[in-house]
Amino acid sequence: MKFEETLVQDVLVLRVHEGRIVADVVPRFKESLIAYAKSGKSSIVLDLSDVTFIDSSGLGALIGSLKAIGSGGELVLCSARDGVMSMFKLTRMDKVFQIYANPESAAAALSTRNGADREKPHSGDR
Amino acid sequence: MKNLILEIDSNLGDVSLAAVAAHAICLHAGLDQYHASLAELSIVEALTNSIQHAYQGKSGHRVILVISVSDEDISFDLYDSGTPMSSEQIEKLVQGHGIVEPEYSDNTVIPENGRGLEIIHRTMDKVAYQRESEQNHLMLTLRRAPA
Repeated sequence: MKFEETLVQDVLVLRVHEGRIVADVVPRFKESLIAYAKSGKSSIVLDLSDVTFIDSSGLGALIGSLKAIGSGGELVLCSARDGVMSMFKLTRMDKVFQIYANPESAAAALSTRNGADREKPHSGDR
Repeated sequence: MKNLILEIDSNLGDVSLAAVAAHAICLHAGLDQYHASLAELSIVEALTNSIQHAYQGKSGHRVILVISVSDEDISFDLYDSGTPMSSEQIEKLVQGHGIVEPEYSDNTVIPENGRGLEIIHRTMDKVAYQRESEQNHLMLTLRRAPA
């Protein structure tokens, strides 16, 4: 599956070029996202502005990608349309995923957190 | 009562054809965009379930969706000739099972699958399932007017 890659404030933003994230495209969608996660891109913004519909298998792929990134990174979402947001709210996954209004606000949030993490002293530092 | 009969192959790539048609009919019948989208979601989940579970993901089988519009309801009747639903699946569909209820503090334990039947349960006003003459018959009903 194709994603449009951009860097916003040094954060990778992936714009999904697929209107419907449903069972027939989910294997490719998940495989591509996990490949990004495993390539060392630990902080990813997924831009859903072109996505008009997502089903439970699409949601499962996002959850799988979140797990693949693990605690060392972050996967956040942005630009979800009303219909897609309804799905997140219906399944309460809006409590699991951070969903921002646009790529800029998502990247700013990740950039700030990453910066804060870098400034944290190591446990052995005094 | 007005009826539309749609038939697709048991191919996941064909699910959207029927689901988009169901969405358009819901709008035509007076549902707002939000409820028409939820109906479309339920139809996608039901058709996907039929293909993946009744037919084990194999194409070449018939899946039929009958959409009926009355003054009170929009009903969706799905038929396939695959493996019957288990009693556990039927219970999840009709009673719900709360998989979407918990709030997870640990992302690693969030299930990736198993939400389809719960979504159907939550979005439809009435859900029923029958095994009839070697066919699975799923009956989903939405009220047209608010209760």
